[in-house]
Amino acid sequence: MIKKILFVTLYALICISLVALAVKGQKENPLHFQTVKDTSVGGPFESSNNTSRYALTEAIAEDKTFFFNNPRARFATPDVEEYNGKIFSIFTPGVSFLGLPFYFLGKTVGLPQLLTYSSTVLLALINVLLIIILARKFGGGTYTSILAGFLFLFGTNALTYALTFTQHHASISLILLALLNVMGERTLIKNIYLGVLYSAALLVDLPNGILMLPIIIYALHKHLKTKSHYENIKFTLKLNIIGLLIGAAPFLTLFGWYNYQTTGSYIKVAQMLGRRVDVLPSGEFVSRRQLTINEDEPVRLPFNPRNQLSGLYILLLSDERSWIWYSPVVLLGIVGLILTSKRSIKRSFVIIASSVVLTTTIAYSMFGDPWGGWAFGPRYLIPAAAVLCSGIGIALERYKRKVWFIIPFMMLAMYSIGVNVLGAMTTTQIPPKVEAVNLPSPIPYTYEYNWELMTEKNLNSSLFYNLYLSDKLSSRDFALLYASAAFGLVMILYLASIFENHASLKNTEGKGK
Amino acid sequence: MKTPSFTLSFTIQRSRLVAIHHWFEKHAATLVLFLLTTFSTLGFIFYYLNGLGLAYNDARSHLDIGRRVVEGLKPGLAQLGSVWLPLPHILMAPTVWNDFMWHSGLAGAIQSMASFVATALLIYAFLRKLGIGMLGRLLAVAVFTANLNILYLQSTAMTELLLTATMLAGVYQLLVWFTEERIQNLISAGLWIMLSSLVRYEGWFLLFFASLLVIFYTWRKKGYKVTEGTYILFATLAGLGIALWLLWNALIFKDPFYFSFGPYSARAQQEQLEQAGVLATKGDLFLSLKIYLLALVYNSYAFNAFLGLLGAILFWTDKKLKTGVKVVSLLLLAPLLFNILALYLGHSVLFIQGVSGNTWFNVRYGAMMVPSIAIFMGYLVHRLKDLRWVLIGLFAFVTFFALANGDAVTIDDARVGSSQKNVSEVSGYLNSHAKDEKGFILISAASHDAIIFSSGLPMKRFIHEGTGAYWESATTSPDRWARWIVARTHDDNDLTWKAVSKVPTFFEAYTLVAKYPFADVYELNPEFFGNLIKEPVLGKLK
Repeated sequence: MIKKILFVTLYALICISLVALAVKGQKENPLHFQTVKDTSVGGPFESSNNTSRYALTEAIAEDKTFFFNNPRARFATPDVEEYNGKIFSIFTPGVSFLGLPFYFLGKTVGLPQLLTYSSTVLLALINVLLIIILARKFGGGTYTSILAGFLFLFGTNALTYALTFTQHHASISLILLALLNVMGERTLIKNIYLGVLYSAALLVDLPNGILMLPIIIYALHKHLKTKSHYENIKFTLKLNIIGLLIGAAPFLTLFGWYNYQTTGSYIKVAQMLGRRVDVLPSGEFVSRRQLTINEDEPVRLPFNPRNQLSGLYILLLSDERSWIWYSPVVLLGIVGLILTSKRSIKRSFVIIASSVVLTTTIAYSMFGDPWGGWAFGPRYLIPAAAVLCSGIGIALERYKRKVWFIIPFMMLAMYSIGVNVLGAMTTTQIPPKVEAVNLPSPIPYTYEYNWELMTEKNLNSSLFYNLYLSDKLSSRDFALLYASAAFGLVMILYLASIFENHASLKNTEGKGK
Repeated sequence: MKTPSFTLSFTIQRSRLVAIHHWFEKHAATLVLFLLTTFSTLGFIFYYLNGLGLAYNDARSHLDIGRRVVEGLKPGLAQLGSVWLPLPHILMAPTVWNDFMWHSGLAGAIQSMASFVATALLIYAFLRKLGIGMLGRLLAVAVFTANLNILYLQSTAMTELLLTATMLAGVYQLLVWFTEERIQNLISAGLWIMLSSLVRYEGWFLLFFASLLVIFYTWRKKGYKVTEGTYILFATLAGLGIALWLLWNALIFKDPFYFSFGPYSARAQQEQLEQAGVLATKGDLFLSLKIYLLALVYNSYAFNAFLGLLGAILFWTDKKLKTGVKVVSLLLLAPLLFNILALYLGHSVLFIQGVSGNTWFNVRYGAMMVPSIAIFMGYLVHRLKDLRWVLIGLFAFVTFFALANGDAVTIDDARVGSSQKNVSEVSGYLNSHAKDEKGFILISAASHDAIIFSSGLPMKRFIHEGTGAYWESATTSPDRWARWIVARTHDDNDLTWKAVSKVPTFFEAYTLVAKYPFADVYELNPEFFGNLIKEPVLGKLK
């Protein structure tokens, strides 16, 4: 047991170190990006979904306001909105609020950007832990569950987005915590906690309200019990259901207040209004209203089934964004979830987990922009990848001694790690095909672009590499070493799992119970 | 009811719950009927009020055909025409004489509305016959009815829903016959398939396909002699509609295949399209398959189409289902097979925006597979018990956004695709200039039926190809008969222009008074008014 604890602790440290090695930055004194708002490709400010959130954190910390001054408005454009002549972030403020303590801490040591972004890194590591717990609850062994968590971080674009200041990892944390929350009986405290998680998720990103709906519906359903008494059937509704509202109230109030301050309405969210202003280099803005909004047109909701066919293609099959091309190892998680569903004791929980995956996929397939703008891999599907990865632990536990499973698994893991290390070490800014081919100088629309940047321009976004290794190793060699180390850790975990005497799944084989 | 320790409890007698369940089981179809009738009526009112109910050019033409049977210079059954099959227009006849019923489109929509309700009930009955639980049945009904494309088509004077209702009724009766082998079900199936063969040509394919299945299944089970008798019994009634249509064409147009090879046939239209180089599906099976599947997906929504496919796979691999049930259910694929084949052979045309240029055309054909998809989804939800509520939840989720965003490809097809024809300018001109004046309007119905409809003028004001002696007289001596002429100038495909442009006095007698995208209007010069005939003096001479 002590050996196991030591092994796991050591492993966690290595895992943290590996992520730390990938953190974005450039050498300079003081460190680049801490005072300079450089939005060049490969840097932490390369996309506006980072800069808009960071600008809000900075505005709150420095000027005690939600509104942007001219330089910040320019820095955050085009992800900005205007109300009463004032510019503010188009995004919900959760991520920026979360970054505040880290910003203050960073400011005291002269590293505000680095520390603010470390909030996402921390959440990514917490997500690994949550996936391990989830996989264990599904019936995975210790090492196979750790492997599942590890593959989530290093075998999907979760690593790339762990180095940004975006909503993805915060959303995943809240979704996974909510999933773990709905296991077992409902109590008032658990309901309050779930209410907090749901409302916090809304504060982080609006679509989370939809992605978490299956969890909330399941939790609500669990409050209604039926019991047979001879000739009668008794229906019981647990009144601690009210806890959900109590828990949700504080964050919803905060959200409403933020909206009121920015849009003048408690329920009007900037994200729903669309990007309606362009900020000029001077920091002044011009309205896009005449160009984009026809007042006679009915209001369109962001999800439209008309987009679904192409959306599903983009997210599930295309070389632009799909799991098949970017993280095929994730798909093995489906096998694990199916295996777990055969155990009646876990079935309802697997169904809820699967419904989160399905809801995420179905919702974003209807979204007008399933690519997620200029992005690396299917960034909207990262929450679904997290849930699916927990299934990898179960599949591995069941088939870890089957050559027909292990060989493809290892190959898929190696490929997925390779691709995603490439993304983490370079850029998230891959255009959709339709944009890439129409650029004045067309660029690749797949991870081929990352490869091109790394091999032809020797670009590497790792702060560690740029500080200590850039004159000793090429960017490609560093990435190769990094990916090899990550894959080596997969091998070690796999071997450890082989020697683990775990019997939980043996009981389930062929019994369907 | 009590509230002890943070719970709210109430008790119901098991027998009462059972009674409620039985009552619901017994009356569910009636409830569905009542609800959908209300739903259907509201749907019609909605599209009538927003003016979309008549957006399809074809809807206006169907209404005009029905109207010509009862009103015009030469009313009668001969006005049923030669290309479009006659049942929708025959069904219109009892109501289309009324101006409101004609111009609101209700005379044609009422059949679509009844078919909408009937198809939903048939989906329910089909699944009940398969032993599918209440939830699966109701979901299937919801898949069909909560589809904006279906809701729109049921509010128009188009023929798709009448076809799906008659086809599904035929398939349902065959399902009962396959399982219970009662001869009256076979006869009933024949009757419905016969009716479907008088609505659209998909019905002909269904007859062919059903014949094969009836022959194959009976021969395998009972041998040749029984097969011969059974098939003759089935085909005599089922094929009667086609026989009557051939006879009709032979009697009226002197050619039993006039509908197929005549100047207004789909074939003639397709030849023009082929010459224009836009009949890309002809001879290309993959493109035909792709185009129709896209139409199917856009009409049914991708999520439903995918689940329908999954349901179909599970259905046909279900070892618990009887072979007969699986065989007869193949007929649910008839619209799919027919449309792919028709596209491949070049007998049909369908444009999907983004694949066939930047327009839609006939995309509504995909809606004919929605009932089949609904049935397979109902089956799927019944089979996958564990995922049942997840699937229902996701269906509700997708449907909510489809309804909230008004996602109806059929409306786009009707409004902005090639199926639309905004003739309001020219019809508005006729209405404002001819309504209170005397005199006939010479126009080709084959080219400009939408103008006739939209003008709001009575049918008897128009001299068109179907008016016999009036047409012949007016095209040879227009200045005696036509105060106005509506035609596409210099276009010989327009029969009016083709005729009048050859009349020596035409350019002297008429002045071009209005020029519009779809047609121009010529008016007789005042000095010719003296000889102009303004009353229907020919009666029924010819």
